[in-house]
Amino acid sequence: MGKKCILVVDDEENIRFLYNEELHDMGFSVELAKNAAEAEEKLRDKKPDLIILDIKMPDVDGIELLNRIRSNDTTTPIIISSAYNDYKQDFNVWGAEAYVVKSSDLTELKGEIKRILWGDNP
Amino acid sequence: MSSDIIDVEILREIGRIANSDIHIDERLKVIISVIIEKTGADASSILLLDQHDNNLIFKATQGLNPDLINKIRIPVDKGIVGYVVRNKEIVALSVAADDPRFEPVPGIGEERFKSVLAVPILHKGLAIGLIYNQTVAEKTYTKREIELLEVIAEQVTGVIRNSQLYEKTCQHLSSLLSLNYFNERVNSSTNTGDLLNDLAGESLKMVKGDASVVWIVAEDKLVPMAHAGGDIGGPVIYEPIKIGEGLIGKVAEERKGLIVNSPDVWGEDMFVRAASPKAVIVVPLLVGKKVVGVLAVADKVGAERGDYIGFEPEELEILSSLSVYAAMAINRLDIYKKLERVSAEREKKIKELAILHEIGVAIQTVPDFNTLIRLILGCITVGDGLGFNRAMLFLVNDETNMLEGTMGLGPDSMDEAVDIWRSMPKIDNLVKWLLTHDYKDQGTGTHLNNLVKNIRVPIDSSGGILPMTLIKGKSFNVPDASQHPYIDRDFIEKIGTNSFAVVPIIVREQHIGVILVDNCYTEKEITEGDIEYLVHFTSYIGLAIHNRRLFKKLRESHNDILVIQNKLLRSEKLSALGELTAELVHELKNPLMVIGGLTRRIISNPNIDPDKYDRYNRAIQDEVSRIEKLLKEIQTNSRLVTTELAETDINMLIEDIIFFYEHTSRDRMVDIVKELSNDVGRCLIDADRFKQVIINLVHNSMDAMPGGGTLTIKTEPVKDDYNNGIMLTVMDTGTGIPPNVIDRIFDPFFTTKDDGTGLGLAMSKKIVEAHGGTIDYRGRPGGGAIFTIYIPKVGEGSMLVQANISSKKVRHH
Repeated sequence: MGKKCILVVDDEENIRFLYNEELHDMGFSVELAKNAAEAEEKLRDKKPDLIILDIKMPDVDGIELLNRIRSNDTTTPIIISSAYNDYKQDFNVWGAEAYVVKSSDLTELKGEIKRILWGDNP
Repeated sequence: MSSDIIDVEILREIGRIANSDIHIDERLKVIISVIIEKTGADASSILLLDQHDNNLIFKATQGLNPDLINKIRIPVDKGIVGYVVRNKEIVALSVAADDPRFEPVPGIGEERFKSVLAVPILHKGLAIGLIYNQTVAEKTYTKREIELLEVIAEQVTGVIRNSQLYEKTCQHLSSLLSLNYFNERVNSSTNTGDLLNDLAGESLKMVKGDASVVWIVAEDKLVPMAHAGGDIGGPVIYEPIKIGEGLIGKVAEERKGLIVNSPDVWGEDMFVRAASPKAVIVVPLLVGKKVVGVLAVADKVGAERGDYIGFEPEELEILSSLSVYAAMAINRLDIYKKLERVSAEREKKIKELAILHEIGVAIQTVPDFNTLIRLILGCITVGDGLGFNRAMLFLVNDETNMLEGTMGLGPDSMDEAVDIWRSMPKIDNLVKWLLTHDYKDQGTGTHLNNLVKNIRVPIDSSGGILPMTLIKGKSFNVPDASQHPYIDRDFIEKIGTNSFAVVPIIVREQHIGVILVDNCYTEKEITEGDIEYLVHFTSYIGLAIHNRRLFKKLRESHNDILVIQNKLLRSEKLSALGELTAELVHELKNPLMVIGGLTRRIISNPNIDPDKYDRYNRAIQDEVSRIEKLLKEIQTNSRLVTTELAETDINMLIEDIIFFYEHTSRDRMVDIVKELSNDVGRCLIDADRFKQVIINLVHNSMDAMPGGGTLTIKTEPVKDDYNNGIMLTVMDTGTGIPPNVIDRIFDPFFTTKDDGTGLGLAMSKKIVEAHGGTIDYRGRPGGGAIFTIYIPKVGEGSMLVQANISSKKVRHH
């Protein structure tokens, strides 16, 4: 069995770079998209095992993209990773698996990834 | 068409409705037709809650029986509509009749419909009504459709709130107009009965009351003399009320008007028991400190219409003003009657009454405060008027708490006095003569005026006779100043007379100044009768000052409404400074995550690959510069809180900016076209802040025309019923703004540029709004952007004229 694949959608280059470094270290293969259009294109090619999604992006924002993904794919787990605190209660309404507030300490994000993909208890 | 575009269109259409100046019932009707068109419902209705009796009122419909609008009242514990409002819950049913909550309302025509989608209209967490959609066929509502109606309901809340504010302003302006007419009428009235009936009727109209009563003081009792409007409790309230007893008696005793919007606090009161109103305004009729009567207005009209909102402080203000006019007229008629008995004095006194009338009218028509004050002092001093030799006005300065000389009027020497009196023609109408005659020279430039303007005394017992008159609120007739305990020798020498009188100026319980008069040339004795008239004159000065404040207030509240309307139109989400801070936090978190995250990696991997190490450092450096840039932008943009207003020539400001951009525009092949109107004049703005707004727009336009183009900057005056200000337009022939982001361009941190911070337009909007103005975007036909800024003119001098203009043309709803 090959490496599990994670798709990261974030409009900021350096953030994508940081995720890429960390997720590689965890042993995942990583796909990067800088906006909704790129993400949708990558999703058409290959279904990832997990999606990490930013909320605030120009054009189509993360919540709208999440809606679009969920309209034909209800199973791929999605983690929302945003700098906003305010939406934290709402993530399961939107159909996401977890909501992590952006922080330089990635322990919480990694914990959620492990829980979702490996069934670890955080 | 995607559903997003539908959403935006609906919001925009409802925004337009919110901003139009039609009556709320009409607005709701238009909203209903928008809902029908956009949601595909066969019937749609809006019901609003009357919070006083918990009934839902059928306010607008398309599809159900329109004859029953405003007629059907459904108790909130009944039916699906009641359920929605009680529980603040959405109800969607494919077959409504199958639901146990369904209770059809007879006569409304609900039988032919099957499905129901009902969404509550919420305001501050309370349900104030609902939207009720129906279809003939069975229908299962999708999540999308439910959300759409929810969004519409949110907008309807804004429309309702906006309508209430708008109608209130219209009402206030029309009250001001009535106040003017009323004053003209009472000044020419010679019959007390007519006057009181007029007062009762007018007060009712002004605050949209249901019934009103006027009591007049006779000995220690209040005798009801006139009433207007509906049933006010029969004979019970027509018994005289003792001063100090009950609500009415207390107002007379305490000489202070009040609003009572809750029946519980009234207790046992004869008037209240008999009239049982939902709310009352009671004001005393005061002449100076003397109570001549009481006016009460009871409100019931609103409750029957279903949008009862109680009385507002502004309405108390308006009735208080009305009562000042009325009280003065009553007092005048009272004196008039006494005079008729004294035939010897009669002719002279009638002339004086005529002058009082003229001054009353002049207060309404002479816009300039100084001219008005000079006119009133003129009436006191010119031969045919009260005939005092000199008059000196002192007003309280609230900021310094000093009594300050404002104006002195009268000849400087005996010779001059004789000259003036001899040259004065026989005058029919003194006020007219004073207004047309160039008497200004003998007022402002004189030795007396300069002398008065240099007098400034503290408001306590150390300041002598002037502050004592003010503090005690009573007149002093001083035949021999050298014997008077409050007067020292210095003061006598300064004003150059040993006998004079000082009278306080009191308006609505406030002591605002004093007037000193003398007969230093003719040495005529000042009688008690003279002082009585003088007191009457001073109340006009008080009124002039009071009027000026009232006009200013109305003008301000009108501007507030414009700001609110604009906010609604854009249905903006991030307006408060607090939300701006939340956005800022968000904006800082991203770079900090990168900086922190990469630093952690460097620390935990000591043997890191040198290339990687470089890459990490570059990213960290990038993000640090980004934060620095952001902070710099905030620093230059956020001094908003302390706006410093100054009279500014906007055209000059624009010329300065264009000069600055001349070089850049040539490089970028941009033609700058100026269309600056010479009629815009100066206006009160914070020039530095405003400059930044224009620079932001010019900058954006330049960026939008990378291949060159035309940038047009235009100014023009705007003057109509509601506006008096300046319109500034910045137009370019660039790429314009994509339709899908137009609604977000004023949001903080929203940007379409690679290197933008998204603060330029957001801050521009805040600056313009801090000036009471509006900023709007529209696309230019043929490509490009048009930004328009409206700035109202708020000028001290123009205010009176403004309020008069707007009140005379106001439309009634």
